[in-house]
Amino acid sequence: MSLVSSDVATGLWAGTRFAFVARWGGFLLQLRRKPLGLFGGAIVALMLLVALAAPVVAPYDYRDQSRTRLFKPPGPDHLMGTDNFGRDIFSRIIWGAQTSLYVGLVSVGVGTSLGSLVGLISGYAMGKVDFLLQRFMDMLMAFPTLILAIATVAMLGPTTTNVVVAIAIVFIPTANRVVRGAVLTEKENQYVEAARTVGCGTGRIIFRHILPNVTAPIIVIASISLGTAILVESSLSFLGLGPPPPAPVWGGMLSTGARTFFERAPWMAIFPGIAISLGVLGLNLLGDAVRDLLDPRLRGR
Amino acid sequence: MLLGVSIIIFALVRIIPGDVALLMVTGSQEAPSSLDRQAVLEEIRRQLDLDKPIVVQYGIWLSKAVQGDLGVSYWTRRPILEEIVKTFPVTMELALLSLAVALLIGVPVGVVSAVRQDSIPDYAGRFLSIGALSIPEFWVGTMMILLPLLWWGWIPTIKYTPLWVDPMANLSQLIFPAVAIGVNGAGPIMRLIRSSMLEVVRQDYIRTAWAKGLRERSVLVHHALKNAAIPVLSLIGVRLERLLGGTVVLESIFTIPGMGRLALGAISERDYPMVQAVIVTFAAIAIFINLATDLLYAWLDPRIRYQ
Repeated sequence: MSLVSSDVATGLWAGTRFAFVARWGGFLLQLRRKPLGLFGGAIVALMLLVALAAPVVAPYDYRDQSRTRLFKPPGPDHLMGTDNFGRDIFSRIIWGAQTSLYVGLVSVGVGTSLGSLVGLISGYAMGKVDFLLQRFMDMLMAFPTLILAIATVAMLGPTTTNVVVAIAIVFIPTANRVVRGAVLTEKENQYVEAARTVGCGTGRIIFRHILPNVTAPIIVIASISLGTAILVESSLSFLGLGPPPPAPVWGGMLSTGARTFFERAPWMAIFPGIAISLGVLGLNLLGDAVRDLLDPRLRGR
Repeated sequence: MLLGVSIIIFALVRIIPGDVALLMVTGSQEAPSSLDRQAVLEEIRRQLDLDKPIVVQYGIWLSKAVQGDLGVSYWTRRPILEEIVKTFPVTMELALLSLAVALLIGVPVGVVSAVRQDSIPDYAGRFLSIGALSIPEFWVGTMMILLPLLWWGWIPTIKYTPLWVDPMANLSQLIFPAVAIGVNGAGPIMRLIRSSMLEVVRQDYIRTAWAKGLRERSVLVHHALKNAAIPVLSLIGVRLERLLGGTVVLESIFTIPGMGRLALGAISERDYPMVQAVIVTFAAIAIFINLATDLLYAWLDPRIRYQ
């Protein structure tokens, strides 16, 4: 008897794993048929590469100030010119990619994980737990995204960690909603009932049986959120609520402090803006392609 | 709902590091040296109820708030409600104007994109919708001031005139930030209009309309768009919330005296009651927008009924 049930359990587990591998193998093949997604992927890959290799790629240090080269227009020495402290803008943009990607990836990672956790528990438990958790999520959702982030950073103080926390909070309710919905349909499946019959504990059912089957929506929501995360991060930095100086942040390069010099040195405003737009565009295109491939039901929305 | 939101905000606002009483007495965060200053500090704390436990502070605030008294600013000593009533219409006007811009761009492009599916305009439109979503609105706003200045030496007037004083001057000032926010908001509207138009144009009643020999314009606008617009309505609620976030940023660029600027100023001054009141107001607006879109939805589409 016990032999049979453990066989059933192993079979179930192998089944879920197989589905997982098949899905991801096929995914990489399919991405080739999405030119826009591929283009976005290329931008993101470039951004990642530049961010990781920043110390090597950047011609100057992002803190390097010099009185002799203030407001240099773009030229062979300084590809994108220099700013009001004589810092090389090209180097600051390269280092800025690091800050933006770090904040974006960590905040989306933390926010989506927490939101998914709440969604998994809430969707599986139902009843009072579900009700309480969802009302709390509704409250978080009541705030406009940027306002919630501004409020959080204002309260905790502008440090890189707090910016990450602020952006992560924004993504909790979204991930929760998507994952909870997926869990609600997923838990009606027979394999869940089988797992329960075999005697799996609640934790095991949620994390080893249901979770592998709701990875697709989690990946989708995370990849779509990345672009937004970087936009929110640069908006915060723009308002002076981002990672504190001298950290090189794209939004901060456009902020009020630099604003007075734009008339004299327009390149100070133009290049960081292009960097943000291009980075977010790449992430959005990639996110869209990922969604189209993993979640056919949402296609075209 | 709003009660819960206000509790969260109240608790969070008190976590703001820094002590407003200290800031008032010494102008910095250092403890005052003389005893006499110390006494002033205690006095201020007592006046502002800062010496009481947080729960008690919340109780006092809530009982006053439901009576329409949001307290006074720690700094200006003016009633907060007054400030909010003054800035609220400005922010709402900007948000609605941006929404209008977003719809004006989003709907036509979305319709063309759907009707000419897989043509060059369609691809251009789809790329545009993602592109529009990727450009930060504060950069668009900055460029709007910077580029005309560089090319023609001209600056849009950065001075705010209230709507009732001079409507034309008011509009000509708000239209720049509204376009900056609206472009960003147009992306998702384009996409949704496109996908819902694609669905609608395949319906039987559209074929009937064509068969009756109606002109393209009439078929598309009166028959197709009317039905395709319904799902877009639910998106408009969500969009309007995001546009509210955009107004905070654009208000600071174009120095428009709205709620966003009020909030940012209050944050840097640690004016707790002010920050609290403004953020609660933002949340209240968002909740109200959601409710309104839900009801409007049911009213426009008789197939939807709430139990």
